[in-house]
Amino acid sequence: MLESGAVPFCHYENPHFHSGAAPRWIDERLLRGIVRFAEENAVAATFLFGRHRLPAKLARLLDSVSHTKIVPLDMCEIHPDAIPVLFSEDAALFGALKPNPARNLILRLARSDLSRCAELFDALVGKFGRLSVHLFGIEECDDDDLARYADELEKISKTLKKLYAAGQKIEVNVLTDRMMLKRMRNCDAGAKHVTVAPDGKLYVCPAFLYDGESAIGAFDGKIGFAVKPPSTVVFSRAPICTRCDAWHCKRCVWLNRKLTLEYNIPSQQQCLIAHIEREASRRLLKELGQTEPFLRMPRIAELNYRDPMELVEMQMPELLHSAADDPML
Amino acid sequence: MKKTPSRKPTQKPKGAASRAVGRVTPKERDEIQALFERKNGLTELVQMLQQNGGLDNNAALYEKVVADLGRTSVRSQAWWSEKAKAYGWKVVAGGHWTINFETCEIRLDGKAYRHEIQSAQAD
Repeated sequence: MLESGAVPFCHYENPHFHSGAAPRWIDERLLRGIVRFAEENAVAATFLFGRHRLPAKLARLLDSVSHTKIVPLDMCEIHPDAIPVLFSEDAALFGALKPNPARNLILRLARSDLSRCAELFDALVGKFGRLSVHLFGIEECDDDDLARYADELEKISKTLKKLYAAGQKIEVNVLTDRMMLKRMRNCDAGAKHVTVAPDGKLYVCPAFLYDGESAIGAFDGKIGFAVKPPSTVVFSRAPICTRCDAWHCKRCVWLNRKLTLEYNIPSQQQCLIAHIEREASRRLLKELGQTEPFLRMPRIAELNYRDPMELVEMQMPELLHSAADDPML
Repeated sequence: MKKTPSRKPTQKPKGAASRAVGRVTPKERDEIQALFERKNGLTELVQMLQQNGGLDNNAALYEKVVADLGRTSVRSQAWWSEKAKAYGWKVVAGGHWTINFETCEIRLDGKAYRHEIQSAQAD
């Protein structure tokens, strides 16, 4: 994170991004250490930008290492090679984005805009090669929201079919990722990557910083990342997720922690959303089945459950019985 | 001495000068929403006690509710001061901040509100 107001690009919020206050920049020496560490250890670096133009001395440091930039919409003119983050509530500004069929885009879709998902997608067609939709406000989603989301994915699927028929090759994470995966591919925050805050402290991901969670370590110029993430962030220690085949699911450990108080246990909302996406992917793939390259992709099985927790209940009813018999419950 | 703007978590009236100055996290929104609802509930309780002429019979309860109302107001003011400082929200003389509980957005309602604020404070 280059500044305190780094753009929130996923399920979390960063109030500093929306503030008009002057940013707190990352220390130059700290950034130099991170850049050097990334170079020497061939670590893939991603830099999160805010709304402010990066001071020249920091910008020069970034130039010395291969990296990915994630920027807010109003900074994508300055950084044309970056991944812009669009907020669904700023849809009126999407017109400013120039066509670019090779660009990666992130659309942060607020729960209140769920019913506009397909409309927003239509407005962005031609401006991306890959669109990553991240829902914001999952924790408050109810059955109506989920039904709305399923309807919107259906509409986007219809548009995608037409675009594929016209020869376009675009990806939408919530619809096409599952088709191309053969195993779980989650966010893996804390297990495969960590976030360095502008003050050098390390977090599982930026969401943990803004939610007031403790740091999991600190970056040290001499020893690199002195980090000790919670052991339960790894996939192998997620008892529900290891039974699930919604392989595209973010498996967001921050939402897990926030909604169930456990890093490795997802909330019902997360599972239902992932399975709505999985089902939409299954139906789309079935309809695209006879065309290349979808012809070569393995079919996605139809499921008789919407939440892997139901699968656990089906496979291990004795667990529930024993729980019901527990005199303490 | 710099005057702290008053805070009212209300909807913005039409035609008033208002601008977005920031946002809070849903967790922070929950904190102020809980205080706002508590304050409303306590205010209603005080009114009920006053209207029903129950003050004579419920003097101890009345004192407790009023004391709680005071504590809740102080906590609410402290929340706004703390967040405004942390996130550097803009301030104007005579203005006040409002929060949209749905979107977590903070708005600064400016001079167009001066008369209304004074009326509200007089209440």
